[in-house]
Amino acid sequence: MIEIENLKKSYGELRALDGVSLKVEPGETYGLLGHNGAGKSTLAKILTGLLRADAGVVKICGIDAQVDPLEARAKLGYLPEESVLYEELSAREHLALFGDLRRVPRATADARAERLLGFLDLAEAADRPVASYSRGMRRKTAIGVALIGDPEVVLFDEPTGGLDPDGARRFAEVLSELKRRQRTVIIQSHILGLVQKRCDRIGILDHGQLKAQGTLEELRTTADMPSADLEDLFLHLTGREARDAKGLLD
Amino acid sequence: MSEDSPEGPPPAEGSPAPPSPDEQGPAEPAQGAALGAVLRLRLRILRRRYGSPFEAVLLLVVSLLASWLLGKAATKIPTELLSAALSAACLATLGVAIRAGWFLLYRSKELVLLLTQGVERRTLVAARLIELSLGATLLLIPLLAGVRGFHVATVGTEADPFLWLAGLLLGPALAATGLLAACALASLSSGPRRALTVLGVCSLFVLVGVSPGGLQALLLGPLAPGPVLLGLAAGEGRILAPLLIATLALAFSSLALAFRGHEARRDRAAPRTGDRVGSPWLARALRRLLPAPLGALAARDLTLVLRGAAPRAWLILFGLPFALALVPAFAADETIQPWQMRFAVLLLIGIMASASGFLFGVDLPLTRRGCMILERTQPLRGWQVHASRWGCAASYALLLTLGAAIIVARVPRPELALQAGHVLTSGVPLALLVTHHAITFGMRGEAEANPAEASGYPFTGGVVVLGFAFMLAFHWAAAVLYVMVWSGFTRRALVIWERSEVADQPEAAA
Repeated sequence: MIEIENLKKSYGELRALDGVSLKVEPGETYGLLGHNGAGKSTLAKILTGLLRADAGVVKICGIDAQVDPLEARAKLGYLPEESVLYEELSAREHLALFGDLRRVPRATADARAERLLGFLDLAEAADRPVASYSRGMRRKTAIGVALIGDPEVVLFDEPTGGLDPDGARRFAEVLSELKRRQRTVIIQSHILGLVQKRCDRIGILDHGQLKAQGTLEELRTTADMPSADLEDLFLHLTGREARDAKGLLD
Repeated sequence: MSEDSPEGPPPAEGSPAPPSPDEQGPAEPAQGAALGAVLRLRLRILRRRYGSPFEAVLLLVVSLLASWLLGKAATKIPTELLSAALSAACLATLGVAIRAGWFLLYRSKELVLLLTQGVERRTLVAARLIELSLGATLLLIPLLAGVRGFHVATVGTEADPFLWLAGLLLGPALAATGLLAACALASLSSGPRRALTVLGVCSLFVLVGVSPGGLQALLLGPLAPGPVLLGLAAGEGRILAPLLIATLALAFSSLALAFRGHEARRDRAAPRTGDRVGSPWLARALRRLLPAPLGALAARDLTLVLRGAAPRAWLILFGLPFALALVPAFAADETIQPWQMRFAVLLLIGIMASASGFLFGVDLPLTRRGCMILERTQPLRGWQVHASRWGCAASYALLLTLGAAIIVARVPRPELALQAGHVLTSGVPLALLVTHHAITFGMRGEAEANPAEASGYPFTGGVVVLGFAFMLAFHWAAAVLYVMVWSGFTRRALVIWERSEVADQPEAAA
């Protein structure tokens, strides 16, 4: 479970997060949307303990991430926006390393790593260095790294970036499995189709504030747009309009 | 990627192939500007990576040290031995140039950026030649400083300016040879290339072990760099003209040849899908033997080093044992007293331990700071990270300490040989505390996200080495002082590390 209350973070004059509050229950998949610079990455970094909030409370499975960041990290799996990996290590070595760092028993970690490599279609490339991987393969490896510890809370930042349709479909299956295991999942993505289809609730972050949150139907009611899709709702709730690029490159 | 150029359709059969943009001859002003832009880009990148004051201080210190050491030992070192060592050092620089040329021409990630932006391959080769020439010349500076020190000590006059001129020519010559060799290697597919590399290494061992005459001809022949450099320092300028001609010939050859078929070579140099990596046995053993997070972190560091993730690591790991050659040099001084010998060897152990600690505590974390987010989002205690790094650094430092003690035990003067036990009992705590300090210093710098702070390490590390080498030369129990003074510093550093923020991801990834 994730509980965030009145979270604030500023970089000098810039308010990256301005009183954000939200709660995500076990077994729930929460989609977090926002324009570039809306504060999504800052929120992710505070959740993972990479940044410290100026004010507010962040609890992961009841553990205050500001007070005891290491205990909170032990509950959290994180997929960063960029697939940051060691270029010289293979996918199998990554999974073994992070299994150890999360204190997963070796036999369990090895068996889980084999299943993840197989499911993510990395089995054949598992012993090649990451330097030789395509972007999609790197993404799959990073997804494996986030999941190897079977964390209770998982935070995915742009999870399908670089994945081919088959990879994206497999990721969707991973989400189903996480839901079945009652894991708490937050997805930050600009792929609105993924969020609309896979998330139970959606939060829209703009200029550091949570403008709206709820199910798709609740967002439609809030925006008073009963038949709108998520893209229209997102643009409406963040005060943006679709723009015409005609003549842009004249 | 196929060998066919992706930049356009292949020519129709029977029709003459249209010349590539490179072969048509470049549009001079545009490519001149491109060359300038590529060089400025590289300079900016290199300045960020290696342009800290630490590198400048390191180059200065190593150069001065080389000059001073060779000057002090001039009367004891036969000229032939020095010539051979200089030639070997130049050959090692050539090896580095080949490796760097290979990377810069065929494997660097920025090639995608440069070549798709209209930078012609001829321009690329020219930029790489200039960059490598500068790098090789910088690497040669300590060598030239050593030759100067030797010449001043043996002849009594300042070295001839020809020596420095030769350095300016030798750097580009090595760089151009490196590019040509990389180009030749990339012409081969991976199987023959590996076979050739293995053959080259085996030949070297055969030369060393079986045919000392062949090795002597290689290192001391009339065209070998060692004798040439010593001759130039003595004012023998006649070799300068052939050196100039050779440098120009090599530079023009590399410019004329290395850009041809670049695309096909780049394709051959790309890692094959079947290239698998096996975990080093030592890393596997560490993972099995140590508790999970410690073993995993140590195995990771070791694997990254062995797979070439940190170029300086190789230099430090393979360079440090050569410093043990100084121990017999100390003993060769007939005036040296046992306590002076003890102090000198302990100082050497301290310096080697400091370098080992610097590698695992400061340099490696700096090298992989782009991946720091991976480590910092794990539930790792500061002491676990500290212990894994300290374990690696201290193990290597202890091995070197043992080596130093063994060498001391075998020196001809019995009263000096008797110091071996003392060197071991004081050297072990010295190696442990110096590496401990380096790791703590590194974690503190990492927590404060200030890579420039690493440049302060030579000073603080030097104080620890000097102070404790001196105290431990009298009694090993002086190591207790370190625990008393630095335990608070360590505790604070670990807490700061655990609770520190990590730089923004794009910045970190850069």
